[in-house]
Amino acid sequence: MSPIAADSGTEPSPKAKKPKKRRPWTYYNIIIHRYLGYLFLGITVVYAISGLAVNHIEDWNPNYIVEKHHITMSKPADPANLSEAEGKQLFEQLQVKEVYNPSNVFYPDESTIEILISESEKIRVDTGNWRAEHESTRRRPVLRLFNALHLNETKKAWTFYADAYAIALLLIAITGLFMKKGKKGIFGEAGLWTLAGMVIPVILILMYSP
Amino acid sequence: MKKFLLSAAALLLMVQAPAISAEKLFGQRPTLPGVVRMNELLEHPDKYLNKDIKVEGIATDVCPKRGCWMKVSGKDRKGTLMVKVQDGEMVFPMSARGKNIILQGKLTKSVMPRHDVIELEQARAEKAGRKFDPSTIKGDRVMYMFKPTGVLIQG
Repeated sequence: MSPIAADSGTEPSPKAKKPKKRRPWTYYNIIIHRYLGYLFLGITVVYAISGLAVNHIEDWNPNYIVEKHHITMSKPADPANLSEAEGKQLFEQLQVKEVYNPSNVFYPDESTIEILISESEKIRVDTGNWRAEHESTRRRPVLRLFNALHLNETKKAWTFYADAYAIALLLIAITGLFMKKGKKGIFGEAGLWTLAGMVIPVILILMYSP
Repeated sequence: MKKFLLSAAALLLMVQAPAISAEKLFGQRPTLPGVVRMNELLEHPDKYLNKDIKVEGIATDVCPKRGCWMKVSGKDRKGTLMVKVQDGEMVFPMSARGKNIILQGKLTKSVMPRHDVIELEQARAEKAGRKFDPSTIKGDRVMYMFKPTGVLIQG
């Protein structure tokens, strides 16, 4: 007779479930951190790349590639009313392939003539020195879309997704605090790294707070 | 789980879809019944100061970096109305140029001191490669700006 049979008097049933082992909270912490990280990895890349691009908006245009070239045109007979022949001549000089349309000539102020060629092309003439600037713009293929998402230009449903992402980022940050194993955990080296990251933002907040 | 993720993505796209239509609306849809003619507004701006009005015109220029301003002209193509929003409040696309625009909002007035006008024109002249004579600026510059609550870009 086996020792078990001797204790209980019966053999344990093979179908009997083992009592569930209670998992530590750190297990769920890791699960939340890991899967939110996976789920929002794509959008994190979008926000990071767009963030870099938009941070330097003073130095470059993160949305459009703008190309300009200049010529000096001859003064028209009537500066307040560019004739069709003069307009066509300007198009030729600037090597514009589109057809000249007189109804697309605007006089926004006394010193400027603007000719809209298409939604991505225009000519601006400074009537002070008759310098004509031909400007053509084209969208940056991927970055323009990244920026539109980052800055929530589309609004609507994206607002909800962006809100969910913001909450997920908070959860990733909070759960990240407790990822360090060991006796000290966040109260050791991990805490020092966390505090170090807060120093500059806190100084700036104090400097700019009213 | 896979089904849930796919359904969530499809739902997001469906709700987002109206944003990709030919007509683009920024802010609230302009609903005022009457339209103030652009010429009238540019010729008599003080008459319409700080009143809620609706205006129609053609966009001639758009802020290329932030989409935070737009210049709109009337049918006679003379003069221009500066439409300005806070960064990010509305982001006007470059593709608005040449399109018909319906605006609703208020016209505001501000005065730029002479020394600031001189600085601005000096910088503009340098950029344009021409000489600038500060004595041509006689005094402060009055500026009118349209602050929209709604902008509809058509076509």
